[in-house]
Amino acid sequence: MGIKIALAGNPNCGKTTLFNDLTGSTQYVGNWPGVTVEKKEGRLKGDKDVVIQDLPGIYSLSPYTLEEVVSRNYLVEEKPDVILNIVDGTNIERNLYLTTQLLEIGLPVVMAVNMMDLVKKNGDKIDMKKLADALGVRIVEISALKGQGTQDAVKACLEAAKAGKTTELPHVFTGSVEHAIAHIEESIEDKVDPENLRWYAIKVFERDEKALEHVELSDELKEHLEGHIADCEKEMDDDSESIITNQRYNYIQDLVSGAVKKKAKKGDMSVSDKIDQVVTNRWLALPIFAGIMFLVYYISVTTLGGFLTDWTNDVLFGEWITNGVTGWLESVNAAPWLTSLVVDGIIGGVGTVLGFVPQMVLLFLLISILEDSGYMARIAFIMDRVFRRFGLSGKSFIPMLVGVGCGVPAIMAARTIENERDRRMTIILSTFMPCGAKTEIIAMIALCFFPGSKFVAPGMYFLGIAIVILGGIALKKARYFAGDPAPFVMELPAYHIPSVKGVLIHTWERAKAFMIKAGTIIFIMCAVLWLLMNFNWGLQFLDGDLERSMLRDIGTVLAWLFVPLGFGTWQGAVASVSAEIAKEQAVATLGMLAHAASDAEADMATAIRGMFGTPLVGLSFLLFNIFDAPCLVAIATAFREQGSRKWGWITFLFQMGVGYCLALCVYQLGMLFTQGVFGFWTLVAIVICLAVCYFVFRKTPDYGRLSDEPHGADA
Amino acid sequence: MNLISYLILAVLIVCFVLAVRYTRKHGSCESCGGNCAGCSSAAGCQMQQQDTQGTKRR
Repeated sequence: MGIKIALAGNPNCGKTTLFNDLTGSTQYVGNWPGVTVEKKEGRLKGDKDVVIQDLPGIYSLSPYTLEEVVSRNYLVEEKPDVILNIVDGTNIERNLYLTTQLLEIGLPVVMAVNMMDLVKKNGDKIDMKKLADALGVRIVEISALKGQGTQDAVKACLEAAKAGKTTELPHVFTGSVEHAIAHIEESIEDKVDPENLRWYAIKVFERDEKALEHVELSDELKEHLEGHIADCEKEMDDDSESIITNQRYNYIQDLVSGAVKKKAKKGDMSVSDKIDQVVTNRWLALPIFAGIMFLVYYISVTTLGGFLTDWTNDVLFGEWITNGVTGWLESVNAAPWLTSLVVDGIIGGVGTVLGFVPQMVLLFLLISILEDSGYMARIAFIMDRVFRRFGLSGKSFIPMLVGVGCGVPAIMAARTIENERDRRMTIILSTFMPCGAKTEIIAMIALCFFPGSKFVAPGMYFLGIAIVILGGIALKKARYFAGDPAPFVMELPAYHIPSVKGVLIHTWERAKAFMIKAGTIIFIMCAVLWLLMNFNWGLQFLDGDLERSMLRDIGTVLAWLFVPLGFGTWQGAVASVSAEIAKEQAVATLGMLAHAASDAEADMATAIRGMFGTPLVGLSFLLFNIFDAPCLVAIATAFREQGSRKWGWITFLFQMGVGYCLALCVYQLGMLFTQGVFGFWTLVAIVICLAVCYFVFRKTPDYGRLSDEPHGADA
Repeated sequence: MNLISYLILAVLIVCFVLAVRYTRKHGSCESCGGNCAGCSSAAGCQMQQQDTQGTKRR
């Protein structure tokens, strides 16, 4: 029979790194709270009978956050064979708060003190024997990042699971509290499992609603126990939950003062503190953030990335693969339509998407370095300061950081936001940050219309942040979303040099996802579009005469929608509509159309310029496709996460409205200022600009409420 | 159409069917088509597959 080991610990203490090390998995590791929203399961490398469960990072077992609920339900209800409690050795005092609670659950516990390499580097000393004796658990020193001691931890867990017994609990609470808890234990012992008795008794003492629901006390018994709790509260002059918290911390302080010797004196600044003095400085933080993100996009999209992509597009796919495959197909006398399908459809579509992979890889590599170094966690902290000024919480920015990779996990990361209205607003806004797929559209339009420009790619990133802020301000003034932002507390991890392995794994995982998508959804779409592009309604092969194709007719029917945006051509319509399946499809569709319209891939940029005309139209196309609703999967995720059809539609229509209005205003006002063209749609653009200014700058109406719960919640 | 054209077409059809199969398999949990191991919320998709009533929310 298999053994289940649950990894439990504070956020950012190295659980997922240990999980990856033990299971050989490559789960996403980030150093901001909420990275692991749900529990994940894996099997131990070399022993498939041992199941490792990675739980979300938590500070306590109180049911206040989604992560706490997930972890606590698993530990108490599903009962793993052993809990491996990961403790950050550099921050042991705070980590032990959870440890004292885990011990009370009644399951065997092994404690792994992680980051021991850093502890030693700092010159700190931890007396493991003293800690182990006091807590009654086996302690193992590990460094999950370097894979040191991790096998010892597993061995200790297997031994503890086989022994199955828990040792005597540490004496955390004082006499009168213990007295009250003992009374509760007596009263509920027939209502809960014997190993969980102590934990439930303490939770009942804390008046934990979920624990009280579980034990189902009669009114008479509840009243009796309430008397004991109230006596204790009177004696200590505090509420029961605070009494437990204070006594836990008192116990931990005593324990740590005897077992841990810190080299640095109180008040000494660590290297991270010194870096943070500059990087999170009130005045310098934003310019540094802007500078770093500008560099990231400048390197990955414009300079080095641009050079690599030029080579893959022009030489690899443009010459070697296209010419090689065309030559081979001709040499074997393949049917002309089959040659067209392979060359124009698959190489032209999928190949164009893959042609931008070097830029994506570089972007993901640089972002992974920023994440692993600890800087990305600071961005949420920095943005909290900005967001808070406009009534938003920095917690809303975390999904937006995730969104730079993909919009789907960004929407799902909003689950960690407890406040319903802030969560709904974050789901609406988070996909405005350009994801990897959208970055490919940016790269293509930049290549075709603004070659060598430094500002297009970083500009779109910052425009995304600006839309999030302006959209947030406008929404916060609406009745439903009005209210104070939720408090945002996060722990800033120490800066460290990213591990090469970790960065490469992150980059590879993201790039692999990109390529899988190109080989599946994009491949299917390209085949279907090629069919529509090369056959008429009578199913006759047109041999390159796109003007008689089914796709042209479909695109023409849709083109009127995009006339106010400047790209009211069938090609623009088809590219924009197909981008709703997957954003990279816009690139693939344009690549296919360019391929069919030109003899060589090297002419792709010229062919695309020919479809759109001026750079202003190209910019309008880019803005619409970047800032409209995300891809179909992200839309479906938003519907699911919003929890109601109504809010799903609100999200979709808001996003579509933003993308459409932005492209319309830029194109119409651009035409007005550059060519002096004024028409009906120019007037509409001016009205939209005035309406946006009104909704952003109007005084927040007094809705006469300060309550935390929104009106009209229908989820 | 010669024999080699039929063979190429057969390979393309197999690739197409495999791509549709992969997308359908992953599409049932509304996956983004990427690698779930790289996603912080992958468990949400797995739970969605098992429980069509949706993931637990507090």
